[in-house]
Amino acid sequence: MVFSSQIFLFIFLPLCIIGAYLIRPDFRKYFLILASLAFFAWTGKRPLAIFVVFAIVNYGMGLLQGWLRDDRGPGKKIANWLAILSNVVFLLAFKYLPFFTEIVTGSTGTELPKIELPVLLGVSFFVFSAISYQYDIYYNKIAPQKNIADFLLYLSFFPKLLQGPITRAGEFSGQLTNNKLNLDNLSRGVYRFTVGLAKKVIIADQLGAMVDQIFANPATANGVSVAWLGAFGYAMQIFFDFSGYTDMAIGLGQMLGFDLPENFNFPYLALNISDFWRRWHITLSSWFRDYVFYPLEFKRRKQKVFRTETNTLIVFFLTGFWHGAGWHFIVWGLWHGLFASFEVFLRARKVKAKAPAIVRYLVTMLIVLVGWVLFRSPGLQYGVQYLGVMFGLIKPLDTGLTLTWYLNGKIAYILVLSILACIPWKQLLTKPFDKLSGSKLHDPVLLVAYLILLGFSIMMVMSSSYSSFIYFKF
Amino acid sequence: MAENDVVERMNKVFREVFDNPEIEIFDEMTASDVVGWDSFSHINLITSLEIEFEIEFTQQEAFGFKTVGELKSAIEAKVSY
Repeated sequence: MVFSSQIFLFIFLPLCIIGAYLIRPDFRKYFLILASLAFFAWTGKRPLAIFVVFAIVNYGMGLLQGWLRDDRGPGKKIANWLAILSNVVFLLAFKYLPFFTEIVTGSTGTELPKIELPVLLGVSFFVFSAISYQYDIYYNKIAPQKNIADFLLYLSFFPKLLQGPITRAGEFSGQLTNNKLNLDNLSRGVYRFTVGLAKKVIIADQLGAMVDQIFANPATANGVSVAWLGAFGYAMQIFFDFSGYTDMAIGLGQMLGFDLPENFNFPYLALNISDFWRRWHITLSSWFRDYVFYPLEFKRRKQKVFRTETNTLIVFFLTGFWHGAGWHFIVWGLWHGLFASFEVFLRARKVKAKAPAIVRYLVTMLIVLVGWVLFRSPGLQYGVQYLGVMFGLIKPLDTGLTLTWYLNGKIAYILVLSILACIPWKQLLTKPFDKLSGSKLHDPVLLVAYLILLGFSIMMVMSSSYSSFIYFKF
Repeated sequence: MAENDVVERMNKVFREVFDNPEIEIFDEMTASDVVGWDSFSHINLITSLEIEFEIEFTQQEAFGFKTVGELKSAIEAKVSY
């Protein structure tokens, strides 16, 4: 069930909100667990059963770790390894099995028996939540959840279940006893959700239709300008798709009295690649920072030469691989990793960038754009050819489909809108915004603006065919 | 090893790692009291302290310290063995 689908907007969400407000506070979490499991059940009965078993096993392993907390022997360490490793194996099995099978078959020629596992939507997200839970218990940052319902809600809370933001048990579970279900949060949540819905259906989905057409052509069948339009369109689509989803998730959390972490901070304003990753998918990059990068840095702390550079590269390789079982995702990760490592190298030698900010900005955006082409492509070869056309290294075939065929008035308008929406107006125009927020007109103006946005978005939802979110498949 | 001695040597390491000759450590000091003390430089700090005192921290210890006082107690416990 997608947040921008009619069934979610008109049936699931209203029932959920009404239920959460009407039910006795001490039963609320059980109600939310049921709602979340029902939400997940939309993906199938078998995935639901697997998810529930996964959650129960993780709950048990958390208890085991807690029980061994003061163990002086190897027991504590073994329990932690078991907990983390079983989660990693689970993720590898459900997400990467076909990829590994293909590699083995391709390199050795031996046909491996095909094991068909059901598709688990959101597997990368909830497995990462489980790993951080087990890790934080081992390092005494949190106590294991004694109440299985509390743990189940942490893992399954539907606003963040399928696509994040990746939440830490410490921040989430504290809110269980202090659930802030009130009309203030409800209205804040509705506003936030509206913004997300608009980003998704007004910008991302409209651009997506065009991007899909361009990337459905053979890589060399797009002219240079069409290839650039496709790349730029996708850069905007993925940002508004994913940040729109995150706004909706955070908004839903607020409606139900929970604060979920932010995931984006104007990524298309970044002045270098490290900066980009502090602004893009923040909960994923901070997950990798805390659970992979720092432990690696610590383990290899005696190695002085290229330690941080290589650790950065490892983290970006994993980030790429996390996004999907495909070489183009891995190369996309390494592409970012290469520049991030280089920046680490320069920083360690205290080399300061001398180029003007605008040059650094344009170079960063070019690196990001090249990365998105690889990311969007159906495979590595396609991506490389597509880039070849973009940069004039490969002469495209003449199909007669020129830029104007794709770039009609509506798309041009949406592209301009998307660029404008990448700019932090509130920070730039503090004076007018302050003036408005102090005036009596503030609430009515805001209400009307959001109602228009909501009405327009719902019109789009009603008129468009079903469209999933890009990050669902990760 | 006398407590003062440990503090003095720790102070020397802090000044080197954070590149600030004016740092004076105290027991209640936390990362927010020192400019540039983030998780990243924390690893450099731990490594430098390990070299200075010829000791070794586990990861659990290294990421578990909340104050300079805790760090000092851990070092004292390790060097007295």
